[in-house]
Amino acid sequence: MMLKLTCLIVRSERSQVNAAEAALSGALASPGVVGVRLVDAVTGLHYAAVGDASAVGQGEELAETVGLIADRLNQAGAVGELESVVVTSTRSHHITQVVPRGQDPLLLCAAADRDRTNLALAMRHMADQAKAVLT
Amino acid sequence: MSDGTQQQPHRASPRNVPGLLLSLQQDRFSGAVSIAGSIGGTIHLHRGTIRAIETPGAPTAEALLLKSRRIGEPEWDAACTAAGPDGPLDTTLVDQGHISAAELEIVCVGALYDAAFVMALSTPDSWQVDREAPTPRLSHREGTDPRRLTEETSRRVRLLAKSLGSVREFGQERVRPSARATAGIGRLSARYRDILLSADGRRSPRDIAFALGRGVYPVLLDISRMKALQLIHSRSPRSLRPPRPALRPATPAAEPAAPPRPPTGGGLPRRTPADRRPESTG
Repeated sequence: MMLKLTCLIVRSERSQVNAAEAALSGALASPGVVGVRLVDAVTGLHYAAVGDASAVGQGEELAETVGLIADRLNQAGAVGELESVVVTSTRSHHITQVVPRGQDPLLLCAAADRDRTNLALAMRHMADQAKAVLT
Repeated sequence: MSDGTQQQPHRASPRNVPGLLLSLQQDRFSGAVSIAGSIGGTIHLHRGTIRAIETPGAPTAEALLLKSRRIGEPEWDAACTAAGPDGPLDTTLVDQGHISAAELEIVCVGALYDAAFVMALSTPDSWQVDREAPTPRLSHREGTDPRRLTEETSRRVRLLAKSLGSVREFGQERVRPSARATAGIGRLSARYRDILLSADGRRSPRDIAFALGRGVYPVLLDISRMKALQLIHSRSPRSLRPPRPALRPATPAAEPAAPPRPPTGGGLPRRTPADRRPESTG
């Protein structure tokens, strides 16, 4: 399996928010996205999911992976807050978008079918959803 | 109201709190379970699912909202006034635009799991079931499945025990930043920075959680990671106690001379151990 990892580091911005369930339903509207999960970025606690949540992964694993990446990048000298993690494989894409929320951020995580997904558009869509999920 | 240690009101006399909650779930119980112990608390149930847990060991949903400044004190007071003493405070907060429904739900669920984690760090002495207990004003409306709560709580305790050993003892230790953290604090994430700025050597992780308006478990988890990265040090409260003084002489004649008093007239008078001695023995 070919694996490519892309991490974006930018300054965190205060996002605007919308009801969680409605926002997650909106996330499924992106072509190719098969499942979306909203979890706590620190504890991994699961808050909501739509579609095939098992394709997205468990909340604690997602939070641990993102925490590990953020710590290692900071150790390597990166400055700023982790914004998103994108993992691509030969079959699917996994897009994890950080939802800024004070000291307890959330993770909006999506699994997408590679053959039906335009990765750039899906990433942009998830970033928009992350801004709306808590408003 | 019934006492869990003396008379078991439910069928197979559950041996522990998770067993009791499963039993209450089968009965679709609505009310509260008061747990007595070194870290006690009250578990609120509605038709067998858990809506809220209140314990002095963890911040409530209200404390999380106010201390983290998600809602300001004036807005909170206005919503309480508008809702009235028995009105729906959660709906009022959302209707007045102070917080979104999703955000409020997430805070309530997070507080519930955090309280369960804190209470799991001690062994309960007894419990009492009360059908008439008032429900808290902020709670998880949908309710949490007791089995899921038990599984998640066990996972949290196991995870932290792997890196910290005794989770309960570590939660009471005083933490302070390492020299490495101080030197590179500008590079760290805002979350770690806030913990480092709160870790003054006198606060425990639990104190920091209350001060920042965060859950105890997420703060412990962050601190365990920061400890692994050598960003933070911890000291047991016992090591912070001053050395035990020598035994007081049996006779005043054998008592050593009091240290000279500092000159008066410059600054405030300072109390010394010698000043306290007559009152404490008298």
